Amino acid sequence: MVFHIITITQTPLVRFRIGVEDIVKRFGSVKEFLDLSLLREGEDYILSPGGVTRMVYPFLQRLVNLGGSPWWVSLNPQAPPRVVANGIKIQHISVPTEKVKGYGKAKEVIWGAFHMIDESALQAQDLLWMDEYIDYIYYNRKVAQTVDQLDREEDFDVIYVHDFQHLPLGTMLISIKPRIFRWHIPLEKSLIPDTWISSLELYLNKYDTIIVSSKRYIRDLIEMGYKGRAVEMPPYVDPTQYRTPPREEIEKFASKYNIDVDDKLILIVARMDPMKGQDRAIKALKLVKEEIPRAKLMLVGNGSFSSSKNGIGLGKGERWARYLSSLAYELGLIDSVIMTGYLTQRELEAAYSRADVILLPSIIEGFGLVVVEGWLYKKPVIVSTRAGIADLVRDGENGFIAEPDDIRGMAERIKEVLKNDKLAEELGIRGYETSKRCYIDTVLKEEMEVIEKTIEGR
Amino acid sequence: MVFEEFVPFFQNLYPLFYFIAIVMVTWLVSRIVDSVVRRALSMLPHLILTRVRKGISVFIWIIGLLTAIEQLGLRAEILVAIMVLLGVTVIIALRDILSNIASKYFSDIYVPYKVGDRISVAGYTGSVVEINPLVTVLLTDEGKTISVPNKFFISSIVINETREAWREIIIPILVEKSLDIAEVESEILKRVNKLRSRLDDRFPPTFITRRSSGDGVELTLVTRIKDPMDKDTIVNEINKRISEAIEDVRRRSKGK
Repeated sequence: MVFHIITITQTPLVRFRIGVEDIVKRFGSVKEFLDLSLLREGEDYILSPGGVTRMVYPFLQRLVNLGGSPWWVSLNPQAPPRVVANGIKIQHISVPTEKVKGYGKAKEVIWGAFHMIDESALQAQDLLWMDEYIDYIYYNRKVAQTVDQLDREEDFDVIYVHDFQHLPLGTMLISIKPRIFRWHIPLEKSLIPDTWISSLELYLNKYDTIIVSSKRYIRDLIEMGYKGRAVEMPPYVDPTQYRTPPREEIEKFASKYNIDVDDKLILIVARMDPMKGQDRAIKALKLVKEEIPRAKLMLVGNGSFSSSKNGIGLGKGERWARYLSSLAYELGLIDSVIMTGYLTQRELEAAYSRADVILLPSIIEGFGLVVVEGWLYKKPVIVSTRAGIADLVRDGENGFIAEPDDIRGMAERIKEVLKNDKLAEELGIRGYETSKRCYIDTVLKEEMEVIEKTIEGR
Repeated sequence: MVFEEFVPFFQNLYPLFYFIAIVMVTWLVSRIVDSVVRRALSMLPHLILTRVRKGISVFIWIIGLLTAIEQLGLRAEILVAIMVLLGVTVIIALRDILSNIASKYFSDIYVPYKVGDRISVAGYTGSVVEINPLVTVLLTDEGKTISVPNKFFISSIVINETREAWREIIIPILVEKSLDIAEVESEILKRVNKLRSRLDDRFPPTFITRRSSGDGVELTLVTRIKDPMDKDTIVNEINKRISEAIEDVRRRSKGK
């Protein structure tokens, strides 16, 4: 059965580097759907980083291959309204700049609370009464209107909503089509301000099925009063999208970032965000270098869509990147910390291939799909205990787990891996086997079943 | 052609001028009356206010158009008689259905219960599983469903046994098709959020979309109060603010 599905994510598949005017200039006019294949990746647009788009795209791609015609709705104020990417119809939402700003601020407070990095407890407690939250509701209403309009035209079988940014959608949709919500970030009731609980309960119960990435979140979901179907399912990657680059390509990449053959490379692939814990990794590097002077830390990633100029423009990513640079400078590690910013898919593949260990030091993390990516390259991984993927890591067998606040412990784990090639290889091979649990083909069957059950009301 | 030859021509057009003039006056009167009614009844729930305004406007237009039609030499009495007969026939034929629909309309506003609440009405107790224009369906503890005609919600005592149901404020709102729901929602929330000190902090005003109809989209504003003694005052104040907010959005959208 091929479902006629509409998917909603905040982050769009691509961020455009050129404006609509440039596109019109180049092609004379823009048709109803701009075909992405006519543009060049890296120059005209870049693929949005982040786990959500990384899993939604291959999933929808599979549906296209099965003969489906899926739709994807996301926020992209500066982009052409409609794009088609390999058969996936993409509808971009645009809202006035001042509303996007308010929405962004509200979203950051919500995100911060779920990630324990709420900078102002008072703000979180008051959020649902603030003007910024009204803008957050405004954005969701615009999305709901678009989804309802498309549903009237397309008659979807199911509405699949991704992530906390769109939780209120359930209360706003006129369409009574089955609804699935996928919760990507950590979900711990104890972290949520009292003033949010009743609203969350209301919002959550407007979905027939809620998918979370870790078993531990199911308990919290039920404690919060959710009465529908709660399913634990890991996010997934399409392994065919990750090739092993030829040696020359890896060497070229290493040379570009001054990485010598003897250097030991610790790799973090994460957007620039305090929650990702890159600061802890830099501090750990200081300790690692006492024993392994040739250790280097590579930080791949720039700001999120929220912090990008063409996105919500919050500037958080840039601020964090500046802080990390100054921290590296203060610790005398300026030559050992490499910040690459955004990497193309090919460069990312080279980075994974060259890395000696993959680190995920997040303070809290819904899942951590980059660990799976590391496993695909048979690399040893060190994962924060507070990441959802820690559920899949058997300490010392297919990777290591480390407390994100225990810098010394993290450094010890890194040293253990970097000093013992045999251990690193074994961890990588076992990790590779574990990664299969997160292959799209493994999870797709499960995902299809969940969608089917939701559509049929079973 | 000399001037005298024009006179009969213009005389033939006089009825048309009168017709146009009466239509214009009707439009003006309907706008003035609408504005007066809106201000005078701003405390009424927005849904009722909308219907009252529409009813008055339709009434003024019927009178105006009938008067205008008479100027064209047509007999308006026959039209009036047909309309009255039609109205009476519909009312007699559908009186049960209409009374239930009307009761639903008012119970929506004045009897606070929602799907999921446990209520007792007309001697029956159960959880509300459906509210439609004709009946409210209860699910009893024994698993039986009971359809209670909506008129009982106006004519008999309703007990909402749900914990803290007395705190709940449920206000239905109709957002006309011509207005942007997102704008209306934002404008209402800005105004209602200012009543925070009187409302339960844990239950900020929230909209739930109910359905889309020919008139527009029906929403429900849900929140909770702190003090039961405040309920009437708060409900009136919220209704007033809702009407003001919608008027503001309407004005802005016309100005665009």
